[in-house]
Amino acid sequence: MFICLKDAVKKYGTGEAAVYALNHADLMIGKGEICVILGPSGSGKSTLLNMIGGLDTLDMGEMTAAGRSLTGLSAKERTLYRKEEVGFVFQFYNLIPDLTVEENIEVVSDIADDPLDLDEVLEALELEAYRRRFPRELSGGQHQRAAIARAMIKNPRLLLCDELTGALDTRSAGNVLRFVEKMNRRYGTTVVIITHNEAIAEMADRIVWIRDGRTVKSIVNEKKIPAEQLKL
Amino acid sequence: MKLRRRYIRNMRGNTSFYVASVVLTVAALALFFLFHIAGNAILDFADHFFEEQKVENAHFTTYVPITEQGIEELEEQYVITLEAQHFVNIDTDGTTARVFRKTEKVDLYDVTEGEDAKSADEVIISEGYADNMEISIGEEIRIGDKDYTVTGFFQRPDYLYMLENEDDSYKNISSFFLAYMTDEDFAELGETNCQYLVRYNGKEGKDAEDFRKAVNEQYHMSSYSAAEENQRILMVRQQAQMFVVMSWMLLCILPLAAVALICIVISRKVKTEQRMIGTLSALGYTTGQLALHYAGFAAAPGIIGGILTSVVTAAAAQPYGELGLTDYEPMRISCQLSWYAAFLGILVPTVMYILAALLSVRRLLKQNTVLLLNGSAGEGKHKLRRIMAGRKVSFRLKFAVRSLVGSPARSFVIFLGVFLGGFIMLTGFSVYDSMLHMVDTVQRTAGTYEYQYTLSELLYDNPYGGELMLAVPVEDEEGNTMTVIGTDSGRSLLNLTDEEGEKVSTAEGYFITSLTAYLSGWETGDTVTLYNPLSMERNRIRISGIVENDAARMIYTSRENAAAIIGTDTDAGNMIISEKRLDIPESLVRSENRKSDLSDQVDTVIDQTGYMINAMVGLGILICVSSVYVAVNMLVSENRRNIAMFRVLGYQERAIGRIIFGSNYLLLIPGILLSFPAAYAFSGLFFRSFAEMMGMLVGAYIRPSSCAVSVILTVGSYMTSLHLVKCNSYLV
Repeated sequence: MFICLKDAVKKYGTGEAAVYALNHADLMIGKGEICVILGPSGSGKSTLLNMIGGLDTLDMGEMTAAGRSLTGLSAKERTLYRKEEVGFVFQFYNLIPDLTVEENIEVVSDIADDPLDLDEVLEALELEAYRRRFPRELSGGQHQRAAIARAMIKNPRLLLCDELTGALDTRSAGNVLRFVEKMNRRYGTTVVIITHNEAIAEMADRIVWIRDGRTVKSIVNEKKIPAEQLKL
Repeated sequence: MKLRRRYIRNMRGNTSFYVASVVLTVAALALFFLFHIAGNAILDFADHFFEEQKVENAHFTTYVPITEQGIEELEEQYVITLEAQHFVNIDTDGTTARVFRKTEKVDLYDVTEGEDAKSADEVIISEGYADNMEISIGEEIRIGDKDYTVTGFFQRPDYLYMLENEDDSYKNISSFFLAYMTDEDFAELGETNCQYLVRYNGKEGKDAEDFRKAVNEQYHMSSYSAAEENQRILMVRQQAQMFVVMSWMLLCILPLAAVALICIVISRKVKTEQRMIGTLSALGYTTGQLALHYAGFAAAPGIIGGILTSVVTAAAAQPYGELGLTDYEPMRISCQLSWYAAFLGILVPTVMYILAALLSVRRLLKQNTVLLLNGSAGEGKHKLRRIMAGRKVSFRLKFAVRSLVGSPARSFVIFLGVFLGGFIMLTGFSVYDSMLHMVDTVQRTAGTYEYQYTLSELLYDNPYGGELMLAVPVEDEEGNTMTVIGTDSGRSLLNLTDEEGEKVSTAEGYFITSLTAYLSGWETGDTVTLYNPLSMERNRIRISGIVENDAARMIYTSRENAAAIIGTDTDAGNMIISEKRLDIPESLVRSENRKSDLSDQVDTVIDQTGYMINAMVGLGILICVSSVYVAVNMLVSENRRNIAMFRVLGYQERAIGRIIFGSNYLLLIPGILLSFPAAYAFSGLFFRSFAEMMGMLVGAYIRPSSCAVSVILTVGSYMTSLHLVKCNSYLV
């Protein structure tokens, strides 16, 4: 499997105040799959994504991603892992306000070993017309497309999307999902989307339900539909 | 890296922060540079000029003239250069011309403009007088009953500060000047005075002492004045040293405080970027890359500030240095900023700011990236931020208290800005106040006399009235000159009192003034050695007490004791003090002083330091406005979300202002209150450092009105910066 998480535990706080964000969670995701992780607020979705992305470390358990073990990596090694393998898309985009769309993307291509062609990515995400615009001059959907472009420019093997459409209207959300699907198809990128919107799950190859820090269900979606047909 | 494009854009978006930081950096560093450069330029000039023009080590007069052969013999016997200096004072329409015969070995004059007097009826005059009286080369000038053509201007190393008499307190360049003419013209001037100029070329001390003893034995010295005690020579170096000491004093306060303040602000600004840092870290940026990126932001105010400091210093150094020498002969000092000083001026603040940013980024990156992404790194268990949680008080009060104590670094910046501004302004005022206060104190403690006559010969009977005293110049073992005053005990006009206010009787021994005690480090009960400067005879005296007088380096004793030092009769006297003006023949009076002359002396010092004090007050305002502006700006940027949310909730701008800024008014109180003792202590230290130069020990004093003005200016500066920030905050 491309991503493999076994008996993962992540605890915040100590003693009676301890909160288990991940409580012996398991997860398997195949290469090139689109995986949607569903769960209510506080269920541990974001923590799970942070673990896969190498932003945080497990207290217990084992984890491998993109063929490397993430267990026991130092901060420096995790940074290298993120740089080489992972593309992040955040709910609130986190674009750098002082830089244009094009420059925001180049911020990542600058440190990538073998980045994709900028024009190609802009074209794929239909951002050519906005390339010289600053984030404050973009709509929510354009923002998120720029964030996806930034994540995709280094051609990561893993794209992690945190509440990708949480801040978007239905039309923009559909649009953004269509582009994520396009990236998955064009570049074979493994995509992990965490959301509480069950409608998005229909475009996934794999759907995982998480509650109270445990993966309660994981299925292969036999009835996968294209993103453009989603009823959000 | 594309990230670098952020620099210019971010600076445009944070112009006020960068401008204030740069202004603060320039203001703090430039003042240090200006004082330092001026001081060293004067010292360089003095060293060079004194050496080139063979400045004297001393001059003296004798009762028996020393012949040319006598001079040669003395030069052979001792390692000295000795030369007779002939001169004559000529009064013409209320102006005194001191015409010298040219010397060849000591105190050589330097023609600074025009040409030397080579022909009959030609004269060169001192440059300061020519400048002041707007006399041009080629003009005719009357000396005595003859007109001379001015062919040039000159400077003399022993007259760089133009005192007509050595014990005068202020220069005279309006009714006194020096002149040189041809030897033939000089010979026509009639009877002249003669003094001897000496340079000690060997080891100072024993050789000089032996020489002085020999001269006194053979030729009977009537006066001796060492260069170290000659204000005309001494003041140049003292002025330079004052500038240099001032620069170091300023360096210890201003740049360090300003740099520390900006470092704190930079650290805070980096912290406000934590979401960005978290994002970049998530995208794969390493600690090194991020540190480098933020170092670039921090370097900007350091580099720009450093460069501007160099530009400002390079442009202002020369006029500033010359401004500090307005009371002196127009010395050709060269005030230049050296390349290494300019480099250090850029490097030091830049490195400090970069270090602040690096440490801050490093500290942030030690936090969990997820917390950085959420913008909540470093907030976790900070108890002070949770202060009053659960208490039933208004949210405004909680907000105000947490704003103050929850962000100690921010509060410290505001406090430091207010404190520094108030401190610098108050120090400026304190210099004025202390000196004026000292005049009052001295008038009160110096006795009830008003006139003081120094006589040119000893008087054994006093038919003129007043109190006859014996003033004996003496030197201590370090060569410092002071005066022993022999006076009858129980006399009322001097009104000598000790530090407890008790009257003292000179019959009981030797009483030193508090200034003597401070400068010489003597205490009651000490036995010290005094030398007669003419005969170099030793006298050991035991100090019986200290009398209150911070303006004169004196020792009071009985007339018998004073007479014993110079070996004269006990009823002899050479000084008369009186409450009223006395009718003493002019030929008997060497100098006439009034007690109120001290006011003139203080006015002189105030004149000399006035521009410096004004600069300090201006600087205080600038620093207060800049630092408070930077700090309050930080307060606004850290409260952007709160301000926006209060607006959404329907709060009026004024109410938002009260909630966000209200609590910080409290920081004005400790900032201002602490500036009082700090300024008091600093000006006390300042005056103690310059007590020897000023010849008086000025006690620190701040008038209540100065305190009030300082408070008004500090609060005004705070309100101004707050107003400026508020104008900007409406854009949030």
